[in-house]
Amino acid sequence: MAILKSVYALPLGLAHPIGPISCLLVLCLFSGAQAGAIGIECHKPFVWEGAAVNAVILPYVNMSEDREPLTRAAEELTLLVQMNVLFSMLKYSGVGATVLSVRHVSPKMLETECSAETVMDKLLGKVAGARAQVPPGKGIVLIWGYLYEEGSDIFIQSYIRFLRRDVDDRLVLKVDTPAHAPLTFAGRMPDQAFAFAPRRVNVDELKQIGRAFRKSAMVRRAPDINSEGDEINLNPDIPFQYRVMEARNGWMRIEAYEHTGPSGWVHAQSSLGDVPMGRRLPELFFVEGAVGYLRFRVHLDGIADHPYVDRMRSYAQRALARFARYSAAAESAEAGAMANILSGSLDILGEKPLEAAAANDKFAAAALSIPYSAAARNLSAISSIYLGSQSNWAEVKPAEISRKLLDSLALDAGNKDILTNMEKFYQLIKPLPPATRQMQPTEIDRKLAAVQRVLGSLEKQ
Amino acid sequence: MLGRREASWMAVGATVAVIFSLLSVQLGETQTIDCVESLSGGIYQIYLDELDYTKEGLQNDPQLQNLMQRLYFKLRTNAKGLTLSSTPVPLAVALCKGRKPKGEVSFNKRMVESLDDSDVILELWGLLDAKQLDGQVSNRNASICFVLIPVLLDEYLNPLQPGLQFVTYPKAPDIASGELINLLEQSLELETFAAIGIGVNLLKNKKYDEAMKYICKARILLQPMVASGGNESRKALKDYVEETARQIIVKARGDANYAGALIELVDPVNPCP
Repeated sequence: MAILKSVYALPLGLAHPIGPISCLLVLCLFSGAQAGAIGIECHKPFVWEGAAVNAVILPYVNMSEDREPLTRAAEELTLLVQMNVLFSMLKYSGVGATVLSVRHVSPKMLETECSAETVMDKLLGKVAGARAQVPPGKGIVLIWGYLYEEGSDIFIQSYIRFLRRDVDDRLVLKVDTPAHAPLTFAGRMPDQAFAFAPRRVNVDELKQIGRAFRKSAMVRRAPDINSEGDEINLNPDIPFQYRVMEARNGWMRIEAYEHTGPSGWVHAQSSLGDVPMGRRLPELFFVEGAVGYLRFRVHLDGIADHPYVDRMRSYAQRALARFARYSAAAESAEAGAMANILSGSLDILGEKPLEAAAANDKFAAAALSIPYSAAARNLSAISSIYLGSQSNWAEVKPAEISRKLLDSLALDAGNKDILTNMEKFYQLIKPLPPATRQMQPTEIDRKLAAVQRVLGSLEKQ
Repeated sequence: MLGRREASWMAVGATVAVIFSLLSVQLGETQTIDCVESLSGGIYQIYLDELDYTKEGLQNDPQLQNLMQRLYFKLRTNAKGLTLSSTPVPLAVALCKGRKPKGEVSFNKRMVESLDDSDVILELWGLLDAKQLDGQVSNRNASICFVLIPVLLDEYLNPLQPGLQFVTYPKAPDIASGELINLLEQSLELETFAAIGIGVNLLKNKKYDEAMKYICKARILLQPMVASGGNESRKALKDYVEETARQIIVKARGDANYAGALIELVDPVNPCP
C-alpha cells in the first residue's frame, strides 16, 4: 500500500486567465498528487490543471416526468460515483476529480450549457466558460448519465468520453526488418465515447445507496465508520475542494483548501449491501481502467512522469479485466471492445512490452465485438503484424493479415493509416520465403501497386 | 412486406390510419414539424416523435403508461448514445413534441423530400395497444416505426420498399406484460437504421468511401437480425443494403473524380466484410 500513500508535488497550471472564483480554486491547488472538488457549477466547469488526468463527473439527470422524487437519489448516486472514481484513481498518482453541480440549473440549461458536449468543449478550450482547462497532452475522462424511475426501480444509463487534449490517440508499433530500417504500423482508437449498458437498481439497492451515501458524505475525525464527523456540503454556492493526503483500507484522508470544507477521513469504497459498488455498476471499473490507460500514455509522452509505471499498468489492466468480468454479456459491444483495446494497448506499449500474443488476442476479440469498426480491425491487423514478425510468422500467417487489412479498408476506404499499413506490410512480406508468406508475388505486387496509386491520389487532394 | 406481428399491428391501427389518412395527406405538405432541438444546416438529425395510444381509454392504464415512459427513455438514451460516435457531420436528436404520424400516409413524397433536404436520416414514432374487455386491459404491446427517410425517398423507385421498419414489444411473446421491455437487452435496430440513413445520404452526395463505411456497418449489424428469423421487411432491408453497397462501387468506379480504394481493392460483388 506504500504507493497509495505517496504524495508528491506537481507543477501548478496557471496559463489561463481566470476570474476571482477561479483564483480561489486554482492558486492553491494541486500541490498534492490527487485532488477532488465537489459542487462546481456545471456551466463553469473546472479541472485540476496540474493533474496528468482528470475525471469530471456530471450529475445523473432524471428523465422521469416527475423529477422531484429522484433528485436526491441522483445527487447521492453522483457523489458516490465520484468517491469511488477518485479512490480508484489514487493508485495512479497525479490525478484529480471534479463533481459538477446542476442545482439551480434549468432543464433547458441542462441540455445546453451543462450538456456533456458543451462541458467537454469548455474544458478543452474549444469554447469559453471553463474556470480551468485541461492542458495540452493531459487526459480527461468525462462521465455523465440519465436516470429514469419507475415504481420501485431506477434505470441508470451512463456514458463516457475519454481523451488526451490535442493528442491523436494512436497505437504505433515498430517492427524490425532484416533488410531495411524498422517499419512502423499505426492505428487510431475507435470512438472513445460511448454508452454503457443500462443498469436497473431496485428500491432496496436505492436505500443501500442512501446508507452508503451517508457513510461517504461525512468527513470523520478517524478512519472509522463510528467516528464523529461533519457532513460534506453539496451547495454549489460553496464549492468544496480538497486534496487527498493518504489512503488506507477504503478510507482517504482529505485536506480542504482554504477552509472550503472539513478536513479528515472519508469512506471512499462504497458498497451496495455486500456487493462493492463497482460490481453493481461495472462502468466504475472501466473508468478506473481508462484513467490508468490515459495516465500511462501521458507518462510515455513525457508530460507527467509516474514513479511506478509497471504497477500503474497492471492496476489499469486489472480494472479492465474486472469490468469485463462483472459486465459480461449484458455490456454494450463498444464498451467491451474498448476494454479489450485499452488492455491490449497497455500490453504492447512502453519500453517493456508485455506479451504480444496476449495483446493480439485482445485486439482480435475487440474486432469481433465491433466487426463494423475499421479502427478495431486495423488494430487487430497491426498487432498481428507485430506478433507475426516477432514469431517469424509462426503465430500468424501473412495471407491472414492481408485479409484483415483488406477488410479494414472496405470499412474505411479513405483511411490513410490503413493504406500506409498495407503498403509497408506488402513490402515487409515480399522478401519472405513462399512457404511463409503464402501469397503469390504477383498478387503482392498487384495489391502494392493499387495501394500506392490510392495513396498517391490522396496526396494530391 | 411486413412480418406477421407488424401486419397484425397494422390491422389494429388500420381504422385509426384511415381516419387520419385524409387529414395527413392534406397536412403532410404544410405541417410544421415542431421539434425542440430541430436544427438545420449540415447536421444529421433523428426525429423522435411523441408516442401515442391506438385507442381512447388506453392512456389510463398504468402499465401502458409505464411502458410508454420506459420506451421513451430507452429510445431517447439510445439515440443520445448514437450522437457520441464520430460521423462525417454531427448527429443530433430532435424531440418532436406533438408530432404523431399515423402511418406511411403521413409521409408523402414532398414531406419526405423536405425531411431529406434537412438531413433528417431517421424518424421514430410509435403506438401502444392493448385489448380492452369489460374494463380489463390485456395483451399490452407497442410498435415502434423507424422511418428511414433517405431510403423512403429512394423507395419511390425501389421495388424492395424497406423504408419503414417496425420493432414490436414485447419481442418474445411469453414475456409478462409488466416486463414488456427488458431495458438491459442490447437493441441494435436504432444503430443499424441510422447507419443506413447516413450511408444513403452520403451516397447521394457522392461521398463513396464514407457511404460504404456506413452501409457495410448496417450490413454487418443486419446479418444476425435476419439470421435469427428476422421478418420479411428486415430481409428486404438487408437486400436493399447489399444492393446499395454494390451500387456504391459501381458509382465510384464510374465517377471520373474518384480515384480511391473502391476501384481496385474492394470486391465489387460482396464489398462488405
